Amino acid sequence: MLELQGVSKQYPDGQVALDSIDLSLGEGEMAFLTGHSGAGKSTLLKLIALIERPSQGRIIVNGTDIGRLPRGHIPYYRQNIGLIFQNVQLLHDRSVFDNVALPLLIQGFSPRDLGNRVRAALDTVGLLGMESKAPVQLSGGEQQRVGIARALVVRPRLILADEPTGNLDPELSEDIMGLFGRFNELGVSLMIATHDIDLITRLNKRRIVLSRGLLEGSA
Amino acid sequence: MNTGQTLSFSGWLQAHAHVARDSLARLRVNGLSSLLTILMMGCALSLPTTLWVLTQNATLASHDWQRQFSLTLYLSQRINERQGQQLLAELKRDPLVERGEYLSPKATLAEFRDYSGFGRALDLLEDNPLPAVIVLWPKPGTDAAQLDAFLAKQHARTEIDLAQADSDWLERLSALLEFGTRLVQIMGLMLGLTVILVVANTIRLNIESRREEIVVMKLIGAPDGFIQRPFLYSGTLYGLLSGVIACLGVALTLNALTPHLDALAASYGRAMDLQGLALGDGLKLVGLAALMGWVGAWQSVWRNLRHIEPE
Ligand SMILES: Nc1ncnc2c1ncn2[C@@H]1O[C@H](COP(=O)(O)OP(=O)(O)OP(=O)(O)O)[C@@H](O)[C@H]1O
Ligand SMILES: [Mg+2]
Repeated sequence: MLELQGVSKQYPDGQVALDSIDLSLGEGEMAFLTGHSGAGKSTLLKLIALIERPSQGRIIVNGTDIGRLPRGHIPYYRQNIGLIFQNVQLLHDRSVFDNVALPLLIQGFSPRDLGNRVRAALDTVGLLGMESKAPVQLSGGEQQRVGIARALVVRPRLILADEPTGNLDPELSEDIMGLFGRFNELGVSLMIATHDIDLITRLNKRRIVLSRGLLEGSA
Repeated sequence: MNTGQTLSFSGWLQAHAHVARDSLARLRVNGLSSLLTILMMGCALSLPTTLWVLTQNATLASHDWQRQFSLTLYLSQRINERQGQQLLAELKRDPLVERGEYLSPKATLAEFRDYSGFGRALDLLEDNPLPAVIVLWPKPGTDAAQLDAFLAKQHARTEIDLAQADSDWLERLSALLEFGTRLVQIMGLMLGLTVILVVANTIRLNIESRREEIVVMKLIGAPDGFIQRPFLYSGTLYGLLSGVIACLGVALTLNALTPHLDALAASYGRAMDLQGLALGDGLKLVGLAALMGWVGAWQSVWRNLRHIEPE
């Protein structure tokens, strides 16, 4: 599904965020990405989402070297990934419904046909009934869950999540992680960056540990 | 991975209708500044259009004036009446000639007597000194150069001593009309360009103010085509509405000018029937304005959208 070969990332200011990372994630595998703050977790996910480009190495997704994707293909590549961001990134002049519907509109669903999918996605994150609210009327955790619903609504085969439970209370965090687990059971591959060691130990999934840009462990 | 996608034509239409409604809604949100922009563009467009309508009217009127304008061919003394009539018949077949008339020396004399005031005095002459004359009325729309060539050709005939036209007057008129047409073209070009630049700048500001939104859309896989669609719609809408404003502007300006033009025409002893902007031409103007709006928006989108990337 996903393979990193000798991937390094040095930001223009000289900061080395990742240093020759070799890593792979199998089809239908779920892994947690952990490490201290500044270890390079977000950078790793950004490289896979083509938000940043590696300084060295190759990233292969579904058999494609994504470093060679022409600019015009990048949107279609991203459409197949469920991205969940550390900072939620909702559109504040649109309702919760419209935010979640956006990926479907982008993929060419007609506005009339997407209602059920949107409500189903909101239901899975426990926000059914909030469709017409504006993002500012929601709590931080609720906003985060809208972001998760937006990533899930297109039923992606690969989900990249950057601290998806950062703003959630323990109970909700557990719910969301459980949700990810169920997706994984349906065959979806997931890579989730998180600091929540408690949850990771309880879920008993693969852990990828980064430290100062180096791969410290992967088990 | 994209199961259940509806890429049917009706779905596509729905998606576009959705964006169009969205653009309209945004226009309402930015109400006052949008209105001012559209008014400004409308005024810019109404100027060359008004001028165009006026030159169209002047061209029409000039055809009318030319109808009353004639060429005079003085025939040689050797030509008798039958030959003169033959020559007239031949000249009438020329595509430049609308109608013509043969005046025998006698008829010329009678006419001369009538308006010269010599009256009886002319009876003292033994021989009629006046030549026979052919008067020709050229087709309306004939320009000065064509007339000159025609006259030169007639002058070269042995049957004709002299061929004359008051072509100075005609030349002045057609030069003036030519000038008016050029002016319309140049102003149309400059103000059209202005409209395009105004739209481009407005859309640039729009894009700037929606930068975060664009970043989010790119993050969730929106292709450029999807992101630019609402901006292209807005630009086209700006153009379209400014075209409508321009039509109104033209109508108002012509309305205000009518009494003055009537007075001007009356001073030349003529009635002026000012034709406004025809419905078809008005629609063309609106269409053209919409096109300019689209071009401006497209230019702006092309320049500004690609630089906005998530980081
Ligand atoms: N755009 C950037 N320009 C320069 N340096 C950056 C940039 N983004 C991140 N870095 C640096 O790269 C390193 C890794 O950052 P990254 O955001 O990947 O860490 P992280 O593991 O996600 O941390 P956290 O847990 O706090 O989110 C850090 O030292 C950071 O300062
Ligand atoms: Mg991070």
